[in-house]
Amino acid sequence: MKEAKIDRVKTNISNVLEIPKDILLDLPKITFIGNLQVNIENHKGIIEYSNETIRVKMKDGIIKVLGMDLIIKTIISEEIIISGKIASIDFYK
Amino acid sequence: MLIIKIWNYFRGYVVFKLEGLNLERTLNLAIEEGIYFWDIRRINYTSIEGKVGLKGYKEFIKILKRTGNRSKIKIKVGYPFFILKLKRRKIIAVGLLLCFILVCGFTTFIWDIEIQGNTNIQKKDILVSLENIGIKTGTFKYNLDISDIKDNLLTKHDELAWVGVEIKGTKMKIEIVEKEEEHERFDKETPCHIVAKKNGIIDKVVAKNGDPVVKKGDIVKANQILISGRIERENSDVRFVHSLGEVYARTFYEKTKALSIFKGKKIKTGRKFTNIIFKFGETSFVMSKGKMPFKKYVLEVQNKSLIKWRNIKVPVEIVIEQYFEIIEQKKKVPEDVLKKSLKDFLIVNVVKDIPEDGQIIKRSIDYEKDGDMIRGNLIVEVLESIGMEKIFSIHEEE
Repeated sequence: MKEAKIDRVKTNISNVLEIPKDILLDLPKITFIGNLQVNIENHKGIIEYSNETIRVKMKDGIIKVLGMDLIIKTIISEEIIISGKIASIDFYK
Repeated sequence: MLIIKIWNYFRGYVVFKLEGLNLERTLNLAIEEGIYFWDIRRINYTSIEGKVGLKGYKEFIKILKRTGNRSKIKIKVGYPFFILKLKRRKIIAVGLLLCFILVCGFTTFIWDIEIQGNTNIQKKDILVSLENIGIKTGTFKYNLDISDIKDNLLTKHDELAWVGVEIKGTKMKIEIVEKEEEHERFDKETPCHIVAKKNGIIDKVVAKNGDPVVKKGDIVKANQILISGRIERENSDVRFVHSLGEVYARTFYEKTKALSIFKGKKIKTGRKFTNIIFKFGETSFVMSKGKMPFKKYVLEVQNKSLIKWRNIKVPVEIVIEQYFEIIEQKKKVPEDVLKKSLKDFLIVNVVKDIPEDGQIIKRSIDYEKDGDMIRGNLIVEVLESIGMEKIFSIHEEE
């Protein structure tokens, strides 16, 4: 309950001050380059990795990337770059 | 991303294969440690392939011990491994170093001196004077002072108007411009004759100074005195003067050329015979099937040699000789056409010999039939100045 309250305050602050939400709220920033590449910044580690599915943990949730011939181009603690034929991206709570 | 690839190459990296279950957890752990992975690829349910830096891999192995997965190195890529390999094979390292030193060493010398733009001066003379200031093939090139070379050449050779020196790699390029040859003129005081440049019939003598010794209608030969600088008069001493004046004479230019009435036309029959010759330096190997069977043929030769690089010519060459069988057909050419082409040819050739200031007075052409040939003879009569100053020594005359 307490965390939810803090989050709400943070959201309000970022709205008022126009500070990017990904920094203040610790949310992932996802960038697509066509359907060839996805950059996910601010992730919390990979959960599942196969040629067709990649599941990446984020703050309270999971990002699921579906596609074909998926390759992790680069992976460091803040950023993950996935390339291949990307079909869809889903968010799970 | 080329720069990153080069960076990775110099740092050295390995392509590893990770086997086991729950590989994602292992990767997450490694990433937490700050290990940088790239190009991760799922091979099958139990294995993953990826790339990791050298130092990263050492730390990665420690993590693997904790998680219990297995890893295999598939390929080692990069500069550190290359050095390691060289350390094991010392001779290669020595060879590479030697090669490097030799290339660096040999490019610090001048191996070729090229001289351009000389017409009257011999290349040899310039090379000799270069050698006198210490420049020849094999000279250390960084010690050379280009302006010094220029000055030296200019002072040694008066005929030079300009010298350019350029060093390109191991080649020294010397460009020279010669002074334009001044017409030989003597001092107004120096006694001289005016003599004939060439044979001719005198047309007009204009003597401004000196005694004319020829008159109109005289036939003179080359080098014959036309206006004498030696003046003899009765009741006075012999005087020597600088002759001046113009002498015009009629000169003749002649050209002959014969052409055949029949014009041979060569028709290829389509039969062909090929010879292939391999040349290695002086020796050559001929590859052909039997002897050349044709009596009349046209030969086409193709030379295929390696590209000439700088001054090095690889002495390997392939020569392809193709003999085409032909049939000759004779055809008679109309006489007027033949005469016209003879005339054109002769006129063009004769005009080359006539000096610019010459004035053509008469032109006559004769044709003469001689068997299958027609011979044309062109005579051009030109009025031109044939006088030329020539110094004479007084002592000789006396």
